[in-house]
Amino acid sequence: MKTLAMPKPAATRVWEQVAATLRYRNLAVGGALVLLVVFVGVFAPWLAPRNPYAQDLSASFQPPNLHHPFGTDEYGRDMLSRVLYGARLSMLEIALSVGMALAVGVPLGMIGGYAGGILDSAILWIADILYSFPGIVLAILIVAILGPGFFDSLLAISIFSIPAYMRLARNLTLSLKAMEYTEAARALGAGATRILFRHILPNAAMPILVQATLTAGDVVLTASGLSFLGLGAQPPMTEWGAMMAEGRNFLGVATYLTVFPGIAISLAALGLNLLGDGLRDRFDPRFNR
Amino acid sequence: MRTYWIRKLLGLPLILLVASFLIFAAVRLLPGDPARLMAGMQADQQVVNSVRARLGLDKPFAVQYALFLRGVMHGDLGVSTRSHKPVAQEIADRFPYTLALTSVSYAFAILLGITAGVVAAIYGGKMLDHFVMLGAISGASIANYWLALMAMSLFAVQLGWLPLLGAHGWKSYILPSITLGLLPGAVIARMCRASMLEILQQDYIRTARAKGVTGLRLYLKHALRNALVPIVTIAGMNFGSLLGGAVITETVFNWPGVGRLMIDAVRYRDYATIQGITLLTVALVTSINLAVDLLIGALDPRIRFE
Repeated sequence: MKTLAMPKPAATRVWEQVAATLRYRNLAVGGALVLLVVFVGVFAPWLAPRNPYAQDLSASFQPPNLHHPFGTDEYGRDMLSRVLYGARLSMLEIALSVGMALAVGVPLGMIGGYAGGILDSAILWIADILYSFPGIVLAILIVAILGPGFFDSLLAISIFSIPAYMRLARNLTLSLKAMEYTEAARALGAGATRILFRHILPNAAMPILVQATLTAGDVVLTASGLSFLGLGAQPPMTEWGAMMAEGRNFLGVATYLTVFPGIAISLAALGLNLLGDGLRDRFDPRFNR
Repeated sequence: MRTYWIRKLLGLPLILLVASFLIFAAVRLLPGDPARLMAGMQADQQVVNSVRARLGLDKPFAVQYALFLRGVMHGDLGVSTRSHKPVAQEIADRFPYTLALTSVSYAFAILLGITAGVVAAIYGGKMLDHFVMLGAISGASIANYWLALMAMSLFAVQLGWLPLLGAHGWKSYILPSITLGLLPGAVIARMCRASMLEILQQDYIRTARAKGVTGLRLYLKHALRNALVPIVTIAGMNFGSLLGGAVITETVFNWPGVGRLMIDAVRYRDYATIQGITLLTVALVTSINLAVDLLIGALDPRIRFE
């Protein structure tokens, strides 16, 4: 039962203020984290105190100290520099896997949604079949065929993220096709290509971007997971998952070797997930409450 | 209504057939000659040829596929090129461990997800809601193998409370199932919260409130029951990711399950084993998806008649 105009205790008002700020904070915090990763990635050569590949066997297994804030690994390489350079590979992972999945999934989905009929059924069916493989199992199968390697693992990840984009683009096209402005364009004689690119794609772009941001978090986790399993980036690459696979052998002796790359992966994924959530809340009318 | 079940049930073997063909074709593309691998690098060509004939690899592709399908029907998945044992046997030895681990993790994920989601929805917009949701988004962002390593280093190496590796008794389930179940649990929590919040705005909830229904009875009986469809859907969809995550978790914890077998198989290019495990996974995931579809149809009659 709500009572009107009852002054609330001051403490409740403060909490409500905090709560209200928290609601929009996803976008800000997520965006800041993502920007941080991008900044570190771009300026890694200037930010890193040392060459991430330079070995110094006389300085191996140093716990975090002033000279090496994140410590050094078994070859005496500076872990801080390696973690900073890792941001570059994560950006590459996202750009390539998400880019490839978008480039294949979105056009196929739009064609299916626009054309309808057998083409649409076929595209939905392909998505269903790809969906019946758990992502990482499909990735492992593909990596087994192509051979372990950084780019092969990214190709594998992009293949299993295709169906999500395909379905989304198809459903968006289906609803946008029924919009009056699309009908109007068609009545004015616009062809399918023009309608798809000028009227449907721009309006479908935001939800697809949100989906891409949300998937990017998974991409970082899966790509580094594959590297951790030895199926993706190989040592001595400064990939965070590969670094953890190296550090894993010294767990308990030099736990710091696994601590910092893991924090980096998780912060990057958290940033992308928060950003995706924030964008969805902000721009997707279906989620505006 | 009957057509709904029939259509769903007919789709399953069709998807399995196509998936089996894709897996079979993909595995034929694997680098390396399995006959050569099995016979050994020093074996002369004649031995390799006889191994090839024994494996049926000298026959045309279509015949090979037909033989493979016939084998699968009879529970024969071929012979591992690594251990020279039947793949079906190897999988049967390992699968109970994977099943046990994934079941415990799944139960943990569902329990955690629904509890957290319902609590967050009850306290919608308040501090507790924000804390729970921050926990959920963090749970979905943490690299689970990293969490596993950190938990191992703390509870097994430093404190010595829990076993470090392998499957020895109930204690060895604690760390793997928590690290494996956390991500699906977080995803379920978010869906559960969103679905509950939507239901709580419905008129019949207001009616129930007006009639004096309060507390858990209102939230669980009136709201959660009606909020279940999206929750069941997302829980079902996440079974696949749980099974996939088991590959990593089993490797980290040296768990003697199918996931680790698969990673070993990839390392040794043991393609009969890769093929068998992938097929098993796809069969499991499609069956769970079907079960979820049927369950949703039972929960919400409107879906059946769409």
